[in-house]
Amino acid sequence: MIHGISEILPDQLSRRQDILSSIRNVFEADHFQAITTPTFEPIDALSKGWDQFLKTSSIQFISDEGTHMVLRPEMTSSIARLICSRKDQLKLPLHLYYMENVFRRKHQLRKQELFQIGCELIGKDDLDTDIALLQVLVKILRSVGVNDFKIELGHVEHIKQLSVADQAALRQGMMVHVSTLPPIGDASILPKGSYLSRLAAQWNARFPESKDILQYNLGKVASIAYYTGIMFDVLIEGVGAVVGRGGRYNDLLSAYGWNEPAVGFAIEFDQLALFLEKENV
Amino acid sequence: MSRLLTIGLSKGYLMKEALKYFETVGIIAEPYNDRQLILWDTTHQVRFLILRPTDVPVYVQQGIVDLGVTGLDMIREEEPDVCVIKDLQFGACRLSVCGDVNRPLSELTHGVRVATKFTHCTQQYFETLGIKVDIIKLYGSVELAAITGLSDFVVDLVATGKTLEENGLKEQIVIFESTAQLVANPVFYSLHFEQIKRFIAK
Repeated sequence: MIHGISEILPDQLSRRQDILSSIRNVFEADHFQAITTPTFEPIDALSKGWDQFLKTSSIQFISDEGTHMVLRPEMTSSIARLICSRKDQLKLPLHLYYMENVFRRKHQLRKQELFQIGCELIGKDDLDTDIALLQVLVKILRSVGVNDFKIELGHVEHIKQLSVADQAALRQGMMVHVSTLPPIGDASILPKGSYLSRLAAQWNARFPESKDILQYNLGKVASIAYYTGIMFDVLIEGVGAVVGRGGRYNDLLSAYGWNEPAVGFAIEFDQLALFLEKENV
Repeated sequence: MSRLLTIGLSKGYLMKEALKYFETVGIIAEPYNDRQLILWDTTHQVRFLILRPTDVPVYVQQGIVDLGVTGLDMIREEEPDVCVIKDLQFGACRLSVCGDVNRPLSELTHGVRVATKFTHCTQQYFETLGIKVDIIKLYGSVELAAITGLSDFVVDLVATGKTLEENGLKEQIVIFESTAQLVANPVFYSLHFEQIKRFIAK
């Protein structure tokens, strides 16, 4: 018996396909194009933009030709590698979405094979783009019947103001060691003139009915190190794990040879499907 | 706040102390007997699950319980994805390297066999020292390993040192000190930060 992989029988699969087609409709309506990448490839090429977390949590092996290979542990760097190698054939900005399996090394309580749905918006770096991306995420969650959720936003500019020790403690979840716990709450906690306060003002003006969906965390740190701007998680009451996460990563593509900004998110489909099956929506 | 709050407690000597802490934040458990797996508070707004100490981090990480009380030793060993929000300061003990009273520490070198329940912490500790040891995973009565020669040293929790002494062993090196910690599921932490702050303040 192998642990950490997914086996899905026809009835369950057909319910999941319905969820997937709702999500696909949202992406297509917003002019995102589907993309896929190789499941495995040489680690030298793929890992250029990786931090320690991705290096140590990916599944690696030696090919028949003696090349050091890796199964993609996430889609963002895999897409970055692919489009950067074909940049002459592509026109910016790119709106890409995917529904793919990614693979991680064995870890307690974590699957080895994860199904992720996500998107990347490449070639634009402004408030409107970040808001448009968040709006896509909101539409997707609503399209599959998730109504009671929060998107918790943070920004690296707030993390950079903290001491190195506080940053490390937040990353490890050791809140007891953080000198002053950074606040979490609505837009009222945001420092004036900060990027998030501008984002909040625009969001609330444009989508007053969705005001309560966003919450802010000035101590938000991401497990993956490549974020350079906003970072966010999808939180659902009663679901113990984050259902989706994303953020802006303006430096990642340059590691693969194309100096372009980007922003994106990934939804952990297994968590989402589990929630929906429990809710029976 | 009408949402039911679920808290995981470790069975055993930490439990009474944990319930005392919750009394200080106004959560008072109903009378219970030792066989009960679930306890309620007097208002029935809070439910306690009585768990094996090693299982508390698992329940918290998965969000089956919102909060849990567990030792720092379990957190360092399991490295669960949880938020450690308060040092409750009871249940103090040390994770220590222990050995036969007649065995000099100089024999703690490459190739020694170390028996422990805490394989992850043990491996990490000896790696930082640059000593390659053979770790033997045990589930209980770790002292016996050193007495019977199954291992050269053991790494185990020491509270008073009495058990060690009675078995002709002594505490050689303290790896770290451990006390009970209040931990929260990360999603609960973010969605109920106001409530979290009240627990931290007491």
